[in-house]
Amino acid sequence: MIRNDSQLAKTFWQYGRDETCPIIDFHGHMGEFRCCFLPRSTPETMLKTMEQCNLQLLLFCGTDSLMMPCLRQQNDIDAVRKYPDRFKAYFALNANALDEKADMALFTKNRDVFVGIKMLPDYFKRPINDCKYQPFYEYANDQQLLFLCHTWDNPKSPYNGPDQAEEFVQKYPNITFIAGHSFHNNWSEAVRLCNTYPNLYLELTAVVDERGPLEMLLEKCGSEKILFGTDLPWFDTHHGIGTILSTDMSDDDRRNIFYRNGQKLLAKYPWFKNIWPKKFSTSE
Amino acid sequence: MEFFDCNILYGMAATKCNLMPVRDVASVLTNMKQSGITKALVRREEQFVGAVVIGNQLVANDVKGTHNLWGVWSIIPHYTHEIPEPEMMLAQMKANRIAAWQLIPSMHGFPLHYRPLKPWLNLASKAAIPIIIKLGSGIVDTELYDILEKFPDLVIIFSAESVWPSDRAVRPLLMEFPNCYFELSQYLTDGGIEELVKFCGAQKLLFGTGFHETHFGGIMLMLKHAQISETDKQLIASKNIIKLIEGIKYDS
Repeated sequence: MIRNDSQLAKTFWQYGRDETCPIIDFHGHMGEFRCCFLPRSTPETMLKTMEQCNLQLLLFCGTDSLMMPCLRQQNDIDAVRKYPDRFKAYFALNANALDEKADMALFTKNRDVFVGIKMLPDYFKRPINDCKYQPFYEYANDQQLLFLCHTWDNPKSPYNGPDQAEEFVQKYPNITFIAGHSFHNNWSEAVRLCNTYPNLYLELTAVVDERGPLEMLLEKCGSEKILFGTDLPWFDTHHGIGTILSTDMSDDDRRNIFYRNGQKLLAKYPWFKNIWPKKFSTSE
Repeated sequence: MEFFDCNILYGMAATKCNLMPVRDVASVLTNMKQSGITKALVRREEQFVGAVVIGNQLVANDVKGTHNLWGVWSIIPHYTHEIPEPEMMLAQMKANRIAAWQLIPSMHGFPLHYRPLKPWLNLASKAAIPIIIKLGSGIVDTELYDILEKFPDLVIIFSAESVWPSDRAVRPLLMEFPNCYFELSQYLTDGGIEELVKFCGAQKLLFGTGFHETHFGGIMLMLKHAQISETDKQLIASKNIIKLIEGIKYDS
């Protein structure tokens, strides 16, 4: 047993899932990646993992969409169309390979697939506020979409650190900025930005690999702006769940992180009410 | 299921700031009890950036009075005569509940090559002493390959360099060298445990968490719900490491 004071921990320990606690993962990928073997990277094998954990919905951006723009994000579109109740995608934006007209058409034409934007500024060596992204941000701001951005600040990043994120959230207040990895290692700035900007949320991929950061974020920000994420299929969902069950907090906090905060953010999407169990939407 | 954690670290780190340090062995035991970890192989931060001799002594002092902890000693070339001489080592280990060695050449100022370590590698091969190695942190796979080519009977417990999925580095070692064991604290790959068990059998995998830097619960829940047999889970969770410790020939 991971801890005796948590009913959620007891249930997850015994069954691997809890029927009263669906999970929304805000940070997923899909497909092959150059440097590693991923045994469960197809939609079908990922669904197997999702079933084991009661992971109801994964918001993802395929690694080939991020790293192979020539594929035009078709694998992500196909996966969401095939399993619309379980997967939604982020539109991969990369200033190095952007074709504004064609990409905007792809983005807007597939709004049933894309919940927002995903970006890896450190990898692309293009800052969040690169001027090439402006038309996409204006569209996303108008449509009140999500933006999952890789944020890491160790060493200090000129591309996706707190300074760049702050400039962005000030300029686009209608976009929900999800700080993927929560500005890893610059936890004090993560706290400041989370507490300053209502449209900035913190996401837990790689945060929970270490004891301490999540505890600090909870203490300084509370649990209502923290979103669950794992980098699935890179990392095992049970690992992410287990670390949150190990962390000292109430089961209410855990439910906020696992799904309540997520369902509030996603409630504005027309498709959400059709896929999300009514008992969770109405009782919360 | 009994959990024997092969990778617990504690103490006071001088060169980094742990947000939630676990500074002494009493705290380790409390945390283990709360999380259902019954036994552990332990090391101290002081063995890394502090000093080899004092660090080893601190670990020995901590585990000596316990019934469920075993210590790990850092090994350095014997030419400087700082740690017990090879002919005295097994008796000292037995007296102090030491059940494994670790090699940290980058921190301890020696090359990872079989020549400076020859007496130790001979002794470890003869007495079946597990040697803990973390890939990365100054050790590259090729250096380990070179040593294992010369000393194929060595019992090596290795962990991955980082949490990035590592099968391309891990599997060759497991397949090429029958006495290599993979400690799972850095292995978070989704579906990875299942695939590794199919690949090399559960006998080659060891449960470890990396506590105090990481939570116990992540790897515990992963293993508990891995799609492998209960027998295989139990091997990974504790039986494999117990067998390795019981296999040490302290009196040889």
